[in-house]
Amino acid sequence: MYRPEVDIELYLRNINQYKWLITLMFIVTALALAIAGYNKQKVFSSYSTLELGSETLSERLIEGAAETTESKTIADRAEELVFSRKLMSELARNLGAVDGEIDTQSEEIALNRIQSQVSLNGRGDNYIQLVFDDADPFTAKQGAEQILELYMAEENQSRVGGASEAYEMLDQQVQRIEGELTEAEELLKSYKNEKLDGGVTTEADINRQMISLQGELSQAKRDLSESEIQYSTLSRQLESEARETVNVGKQSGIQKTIDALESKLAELRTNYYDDYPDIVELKREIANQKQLLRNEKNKARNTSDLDDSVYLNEAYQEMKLNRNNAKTRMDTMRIRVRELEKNIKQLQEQGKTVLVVDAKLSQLQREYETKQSNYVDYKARLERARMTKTMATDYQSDITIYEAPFLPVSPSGLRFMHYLLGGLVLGMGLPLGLIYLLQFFSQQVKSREMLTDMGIPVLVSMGKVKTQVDHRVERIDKSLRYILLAGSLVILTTMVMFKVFARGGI
Amino acid sequence: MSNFSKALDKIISKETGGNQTRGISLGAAGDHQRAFEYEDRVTSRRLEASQGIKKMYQPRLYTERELNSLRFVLADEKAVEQRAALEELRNQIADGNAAVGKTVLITSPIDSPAVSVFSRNLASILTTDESVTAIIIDMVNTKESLQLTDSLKQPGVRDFVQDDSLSVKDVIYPTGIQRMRVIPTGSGLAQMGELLRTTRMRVLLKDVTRRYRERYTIIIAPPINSVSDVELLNEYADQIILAVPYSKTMKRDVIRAMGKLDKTKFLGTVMLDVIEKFKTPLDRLGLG
Repeated sequence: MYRPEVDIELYLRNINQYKWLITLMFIVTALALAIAGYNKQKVFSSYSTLELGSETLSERLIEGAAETTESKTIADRAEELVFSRKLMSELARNLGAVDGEIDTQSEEIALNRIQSQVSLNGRGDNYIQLVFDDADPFTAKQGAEQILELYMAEENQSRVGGASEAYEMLDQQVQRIEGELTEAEELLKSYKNEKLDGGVTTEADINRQMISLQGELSQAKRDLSESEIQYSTLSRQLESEARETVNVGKQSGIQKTIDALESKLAELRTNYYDDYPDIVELKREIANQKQLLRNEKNKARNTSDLDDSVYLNEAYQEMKLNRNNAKTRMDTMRIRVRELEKNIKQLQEQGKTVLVVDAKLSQLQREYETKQSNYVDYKARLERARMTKTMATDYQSDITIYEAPFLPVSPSGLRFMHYLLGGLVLGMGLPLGLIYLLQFFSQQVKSREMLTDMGIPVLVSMGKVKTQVDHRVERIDKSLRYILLAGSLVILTTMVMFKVFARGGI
Repeated sequence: MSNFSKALDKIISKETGGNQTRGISLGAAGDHQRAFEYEDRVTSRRLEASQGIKKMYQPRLYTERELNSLRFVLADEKAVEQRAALEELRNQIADGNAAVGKTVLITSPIDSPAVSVFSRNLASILTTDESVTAIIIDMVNTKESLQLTDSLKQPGVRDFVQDDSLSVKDVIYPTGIQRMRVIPTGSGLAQMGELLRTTRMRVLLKDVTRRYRERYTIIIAPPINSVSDVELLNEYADQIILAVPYSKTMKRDVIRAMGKLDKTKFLGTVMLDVIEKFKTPLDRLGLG
């Protein structure tokens, strides 16, 4: 695979082919740069070097009390300050470029010129250079001194002013937040007083009371049930005891009468016939007594009315007393159950109110906590700002002058010599590079390998058949190129000589 | 069979049109005997041809100055490389038998006067052998081609094709080079591409290419990419050479031209007007 970019022979042929291009480009480039360098005004630079962010005494003493400003931030601020219109205007006035305020277009141009003479260069992480360029070395030094002085004054003012401003602002913030915090605290307190002291308890209390009341209600219901059972049992027992007492009382008296009558009847029957009037009478009487007994039994079964004998019965009396006690307890329990149910219902109603109160209370509590947190945060910032303000006032600045402005003895930047050498190198390199690029991208057939690479055989390569005229033209061509080259070298040498002897150096 | 014997068989075969018995090994003594007999025959025939050729009309010869102004490669120190290249090319064209003439078609992808210069130099180098002649049929009307004939108004290819009254011998002219003839482009407004298809053109080419066994015919064809029907000339050529002017021809032009040429007759390309490489100080000291 043929690669034209590495074909040195082709490159040498191309150089030969484009020798006029090379010659002209060399002459034009070398002369142009030499003329530019020759006419370039000398620039003298004076500068001061500042060390940024050096640790101050207060920082060493109160480590961590206040935040130290990073040097990079200081450098950024320095750039803003140095190139601020205020500082530049002051510099222009001090250097006499403008008088008073900048109003006219010519004054604006003068200001821009002054601004273009100032530059700020970083040197490592902690150093910056304030540079002032001028054609006159004394003016360069004066400018560098002025810019340094103005910058330091502005920096100090900016630092102290900034720290005070920050402190004032934070103080106002703290006072505002303190007022808001007090207000929130009062609001929370009054709400608590209003709701909680007015009987409104919390949701947890409601739950606790509800559990307790439900427990009591269950107990009361159990007790009521027991009392009702006891009452009904005693009532049944009391009725039974009364019937027993009737049998023992009236029925036994009638039976005794019947027994006496029947005994008398039996006695009479032993002596008289049944139709004897006494016997008939006795029979009738016995029948009446029996009927009476039956009536009594029925009466005792059907009526509760008890006779005095019953009431006088001790067991009955005791039972009745117990039953009355049971009834009293039963009634008491019923009342208690009703009360408890009423309380539970009230508590449920109260629970609904408590949810709303809780939500409001949480909101107030949150607001209060937020304001409290802000207050603590701002209070800490205020303290730091106070420390910074104190440090800024006490120690002025953490920027120190590492190098003061000096009087430059040699011009800075590119000089004639650099332009001259650059022109010579560029004058050679530019056309040669161009030719190389041309060789790389060209699709012209310029080598046997290019054709053989395409599978096309190459029999021979022949140079141009030249006539005498051609040879003569070539000689003239060559001479002309040499003359041009020599002429340009003579011009360059003359410029160098003139620069050395007339202007004192290249 | 020795290499010499093989080469000899090849040459004899070409000479006799393939009728000679081949492949019969006669041994070393037989080979030598056969070679001597062949050389005798060739020498005899060439001597006969050169005697006849000496009788060709030659009004005058170019002076060295004229040769130089006509861009002929001279046999001096300044053109050693070019002459060597031409001689190498001559050998490749002759392919071991310089005494038998051939028709060589020379064309190029683009128009360039270098093609005419190269063609006449090739014809010139071919005629250094006194037993052969060369004729150039110039179909490209350039300043260089007109220089070869004494008068610009002499009829040439165009005139022959357009004027039936002209015979072939009327358009063949001697040059200032011995044994070298030329048929110039001639005058007329007709495009060469149109003339290539005519019967008169066929007559001309057939006549010129087949008349003499010892004559090399160099057809300088117009640029194949810019003139139509140049590929028709493939038919008349024994060998085809594509001339590629240095740094003026693009790769795509070469590829396009190759597509129109007869591959079986294609001999190869010739790079023309190659620029010398820049001589570095090391080259000048002989260290490059």
